[in-house]
Amino acid sequence: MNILLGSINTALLLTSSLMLTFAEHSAQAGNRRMIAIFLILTMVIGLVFLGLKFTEYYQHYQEHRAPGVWFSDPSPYASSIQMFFVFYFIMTGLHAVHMIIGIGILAGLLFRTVIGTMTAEYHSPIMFGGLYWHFVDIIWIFLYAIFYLPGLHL
Amino acid sequence: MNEPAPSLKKYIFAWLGLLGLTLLTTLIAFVNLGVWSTVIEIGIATIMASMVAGFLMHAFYETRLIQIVIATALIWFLIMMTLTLGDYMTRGWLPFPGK
Repeated sequence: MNILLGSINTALLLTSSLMLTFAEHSAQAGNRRMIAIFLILTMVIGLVFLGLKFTEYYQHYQEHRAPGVWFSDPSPYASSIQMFFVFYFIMTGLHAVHMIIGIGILAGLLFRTVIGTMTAEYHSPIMFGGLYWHFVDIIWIFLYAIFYLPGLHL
Repeated sequence: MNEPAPSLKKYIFAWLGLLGLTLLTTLIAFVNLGVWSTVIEIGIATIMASMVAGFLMHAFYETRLIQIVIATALIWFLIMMTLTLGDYMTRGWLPFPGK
């Protein structure tokens, strides 16, 4: 596990959530320009997160850590290590898929903001999109605690 | 629509708190505390998740009805986790083949 990339990604996700709360706050005031700016910032930070995540996947692949025929490890615990990476790739991969869905949702919200649907009276979609994004954030907090931190002191 | 929501200041303080807890849990992870490492790391993660849910998802500012719905989901999740871990952690207690 690359603790540096993992920690940066945690901070990035938390920051993207903060940007989205700013968008929600602007939505309550009905300020469409600020909604659009903060939605774009949220999506950009989300994309940076995914970029770092896939960089990390590529490192695992190069180190023969990807489960399957390519996997190799000299230690007697090789099969346990491979099992760990099966869970790692499925859980972080599923999280990444939900991030991509979330960016799609935010793009849809951005479109509806730009064409002028969102007002101070009607902005519930932005709040609901925000709930989705923050929840994916919560999942990452636990993935970080489960996959990245235990390796540091073992 | 006038839904309850925290002020910008509270969002920023919650975010700073979350970053601080991330740093804290990462530093603690470098110390070997045996089985307590996992307990502390998951504990801090739970506090962080509560802060995200409470401030960023404004659960702390919602009506009592919505808070009860959230609590219901959490209790159901805990039941599922208890059953799963009850199976997983007791594997190997009995000498059955292929445990």
